[in-house]
Amino acid sequence: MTKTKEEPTGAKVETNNMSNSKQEAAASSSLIQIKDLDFFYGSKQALFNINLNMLEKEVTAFIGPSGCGKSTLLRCFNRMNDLVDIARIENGTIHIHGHDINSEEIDIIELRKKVGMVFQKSNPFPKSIYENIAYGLKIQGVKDKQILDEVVEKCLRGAALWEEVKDRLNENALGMSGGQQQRLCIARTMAVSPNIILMDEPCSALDPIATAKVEELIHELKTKYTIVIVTHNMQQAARVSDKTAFFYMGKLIELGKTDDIFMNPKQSQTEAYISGKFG
Amino acid sequence: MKRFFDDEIKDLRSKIILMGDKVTEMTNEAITALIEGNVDLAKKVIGTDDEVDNLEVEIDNDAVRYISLRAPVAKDVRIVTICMKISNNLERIGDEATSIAKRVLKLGRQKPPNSFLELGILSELAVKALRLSLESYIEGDAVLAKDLPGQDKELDRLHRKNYDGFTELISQNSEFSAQFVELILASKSLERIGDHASNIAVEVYYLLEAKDLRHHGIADK
Ligand SMILES: Nc1ncnc2c1ncn2[C@@H]1O[C@H](COP(=O)(O)OP(=O)(O)OP(=O)(O)O)[C@@H](O)[C@H]1O
Ligand SMILES: [Mg+2]
Repeated sequence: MTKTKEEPTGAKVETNNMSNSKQEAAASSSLIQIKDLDFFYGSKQALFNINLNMLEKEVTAFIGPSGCGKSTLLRCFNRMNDLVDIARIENGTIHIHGHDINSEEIDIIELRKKVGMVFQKSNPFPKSIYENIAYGLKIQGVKDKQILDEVVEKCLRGAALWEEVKDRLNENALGMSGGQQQRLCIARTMAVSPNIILMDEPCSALDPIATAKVEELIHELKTKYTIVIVTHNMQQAARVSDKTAFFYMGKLIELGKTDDIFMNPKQSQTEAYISGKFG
Repeated sequence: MKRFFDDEIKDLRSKIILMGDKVTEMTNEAITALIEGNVDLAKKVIGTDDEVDNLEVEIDNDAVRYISLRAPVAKDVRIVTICMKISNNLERIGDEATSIAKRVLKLGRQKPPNSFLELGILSELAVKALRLSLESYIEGDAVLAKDLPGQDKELDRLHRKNYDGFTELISQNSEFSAQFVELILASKSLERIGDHASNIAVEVYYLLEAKDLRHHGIADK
């Protein structure tokens, strides 16, 4: 058998083309696409030329030292930074489901329904457990008691909380433990049927058992939701996420499969950070 | 509380058990092939060696991944690191079985030797030691694991007997000299399989009791 000399070259070009078109396909099928994003608080730049795509039903962890811009970027996804006067996006775009979320036509209320957020400190309303979950729907005008009951149960089950609280739905949510409150906040987020759940250090105030429960929950939730989680706990990032993004001083240093980031990171800064040898 | 990654430990365990089954079968078949002069069976053994090697690599990768991503402590660390050590011993057992099978191929064209001395009983004891070491792992039987290394002396004795016996036969200017050299080496392989089975038992004991039987430990018994 003879081989022509052109074969390898031709094959190589084709592979390159394929990987390019594959990359494009991956980008367009991404649920969240961030392109060339520059972000400022007043004259201080907090994010530098961020490019990042997140796929549907994947968990992405944001890690990096304090002040590197993780929360700032997370808050861009549901335009929470709009609440900060001096905050502005100077450059770049964020698309969710193919829509530019910073364009004029975007309905912010609708956006925040689709992109739910769970905060570091659990913040249940000072109302009953039941009301905490039903509240969002009631605001939307849902009055049917049967529908509300169903959603409350479904969300509490979804947040692995139902068995613990089903007999005291009318008690004040503030009487729950910290871990229960955090899961209640996750249940509340789920009530308005989001696609994306953002979590900013959701376990930092929880003990190891409550943390494990929230991690189990995240593992369950990713069959339905796309999740972005900011965490200072490296083990947590390694355990719960599919992709990990490492940020440093407002720049995305490395993004990869969590397996690769934690077993064999490409950047020495990433390795130094995750192994606690930073600085 | 069950964690979602508990299944990863179960998978590791299943792979060890699968690998153990494979090398036990390889050892049995290699001996049968040797005694019966069955070249086809020997080729089958040699073919299985790649599967065993692949399993070892898989187990190592899974274990390193588990340690990197799951932050194990206490017994979980032992479970995962011991998997790597057991699979390493199993892989070596697979190599020994393969080397016996290769001797069958070499002998294939020659007249079968007229004596196997203690090879049959040695192979039975080697396979038994291997089976018991795996059983101690599967059942979590610390007593079994602790006793097993002591039984290795009998395998050593039988191998020495084979060595002396075959050497004697060769020196008698036997027409089977070439065959007997191969049988000495096969006997050595069986003795090594016994050693690896003991090593596995020592690792299982450490896994279960967090006590090290190696070196001094065995002498203390
Ligand atoms: N409201 C604000 N006004 C002005 N500057 C801000 C504001 N919020 C954050 N910054 C600055 O932007 C940078 C990024 O902050 P950000 O909160 O995003 O960091 P982070 O990575 O979430 O840190 P941490 O891990 O401590 O939560 C920091 O230098 C911070 O001081
Ligand atoms: Mg933050």
